[in-house]
Amino acid sequence: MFSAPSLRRLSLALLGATTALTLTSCADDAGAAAASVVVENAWVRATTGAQDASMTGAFMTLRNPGSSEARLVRAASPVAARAELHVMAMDGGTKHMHRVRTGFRVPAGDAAVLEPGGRHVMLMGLTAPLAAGDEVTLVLTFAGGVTKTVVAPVKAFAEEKGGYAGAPSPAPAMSMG
Amino acid sequence: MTSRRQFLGYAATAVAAAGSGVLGGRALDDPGPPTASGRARVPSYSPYGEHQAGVLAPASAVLHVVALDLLPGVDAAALGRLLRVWTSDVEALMSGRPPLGDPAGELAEGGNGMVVTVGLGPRAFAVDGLRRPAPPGLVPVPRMRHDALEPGWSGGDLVLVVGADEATSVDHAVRRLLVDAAPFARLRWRQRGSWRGTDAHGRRVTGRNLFGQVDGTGNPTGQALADAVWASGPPWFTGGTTLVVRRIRMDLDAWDRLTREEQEAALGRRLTTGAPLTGAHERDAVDFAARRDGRLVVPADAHVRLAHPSSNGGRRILRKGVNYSDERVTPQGVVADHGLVFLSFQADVGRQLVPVQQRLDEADALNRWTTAIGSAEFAVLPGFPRGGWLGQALLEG
Repeated sequence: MFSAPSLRRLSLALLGATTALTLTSCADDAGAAAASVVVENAWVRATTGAQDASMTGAFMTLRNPGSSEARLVRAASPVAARAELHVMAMDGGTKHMHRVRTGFRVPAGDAAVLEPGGRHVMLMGLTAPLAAGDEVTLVLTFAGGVTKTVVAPVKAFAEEKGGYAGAPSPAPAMSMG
Repeated sequence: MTSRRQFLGYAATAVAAAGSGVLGGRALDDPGPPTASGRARVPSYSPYGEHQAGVLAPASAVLHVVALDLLPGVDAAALGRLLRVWTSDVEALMSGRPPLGDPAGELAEGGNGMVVTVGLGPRAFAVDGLRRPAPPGLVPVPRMRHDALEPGWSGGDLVLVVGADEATSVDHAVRRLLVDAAPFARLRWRQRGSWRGTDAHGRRVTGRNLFGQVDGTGNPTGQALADAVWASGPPWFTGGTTLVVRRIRMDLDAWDRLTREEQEAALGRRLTTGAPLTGAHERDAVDFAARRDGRLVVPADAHVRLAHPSSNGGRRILRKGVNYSDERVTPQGVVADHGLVFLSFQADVGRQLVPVQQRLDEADALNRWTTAIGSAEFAVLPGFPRGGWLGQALLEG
């Protein structure tokens, strides 16, 4: 004996279940793809001497030797209160930083390069200054739930205009989480 | 577990995988074959090993010796950070990869014979928090009678010896190493040298200095080389050696005015082949007793006689030189300056190089045309394995 609302809830739940199954299947592919991703050349920009030592960028190459696409969806680090995936992009003739909520695609048989001036992991709310030669642990989560932990050296790097240490420029398109 | 092994061994920066799949917690450990496609060509010298490869490597066609001074406040922890940063740079540069964060990484393309050697000067052992003293073989070369040392070419807390087949790669490598050292140290001096180590047919040869002399023939080989160069301790220094860098100005104008016979007598070897005046081939042993018309064939003050181990109680060094040509601004105008950047590797400076140097200072015929204008001593760190770092045994434990 089901009331109309509860039936609707059930069907939604079933629909949800179907969707979930589909997602699980996708996630399995994604997980398999992510599992084979190799993280290379990871490094983190030092904050000592920076204008704003509360944030910095992490850079790396994600290489996907697999046959299906992987996607980096989340990052975390013990040295930061939170980490976000950001991109520097041209907007109205100037470069601005945006958060990328959909994550970074790592195409099959290809690589995603996270580098200064482009895609990067933004480490925010740093718990301590990062000096060149320090080491930072990064936990990278891929679509499908696979996580990879890397230890990245800290290197000094000349600050760029609209850099990674200062507050992101207040572009209209920017949405900070 | 994630160790430095994962991050310093680049290709394997990969992963300590804490992967967990979506189904039933199936472990998705990273299969992680760290072999990479698209990797640069095989380097001529490995960054890994018991010793730094640059010590025994023949003089590079282009060789820069760069001394740095530590900034005030650099302590043992900071020195360790610098050496870890340099280790990752050395691994990358010697493997034909750009150092991390290199904005001009295309300049690091391999196949260039890149070899980087790192050492510490005496003051580096005096930084706060460093518990180990300098190795006993690292002592200053006392001032020689013929020296005219200039502070701008002497001393230094750190040294980089960067060699490659051509100059652009060396310029780029030195630039990256200096940029990465900027939080810790600043440039003190830089000596640029070159060497022709091959003949017209591309065969490896000893090479010549700017006097035209075949230079370096008498270097030890095999076990004698190992005995001369590698320090036996302290434990952290096993696999290390010491390096003395002397900038030797050569008076080419005066040299050019000598006859060939006078030039050959000063050295004790023929200019054409490098053979001793008593022999026919470069590698022939020198007959120091040989006389012609009652006079020594190799004169008493010939460089080869005074520098020879038999004149020095068997003391040997590994000598390596690169030629320099420079300009000096003087009140009289710009003056060409030529010479040799002389590198001497030995287990113990005080027991090996210093007595030989003193003997040469007393009597060497070449003193008339040569003057040391710079001198510096360094402890060349032992090599490191993949996953390790330069100076790890000095700074850890």
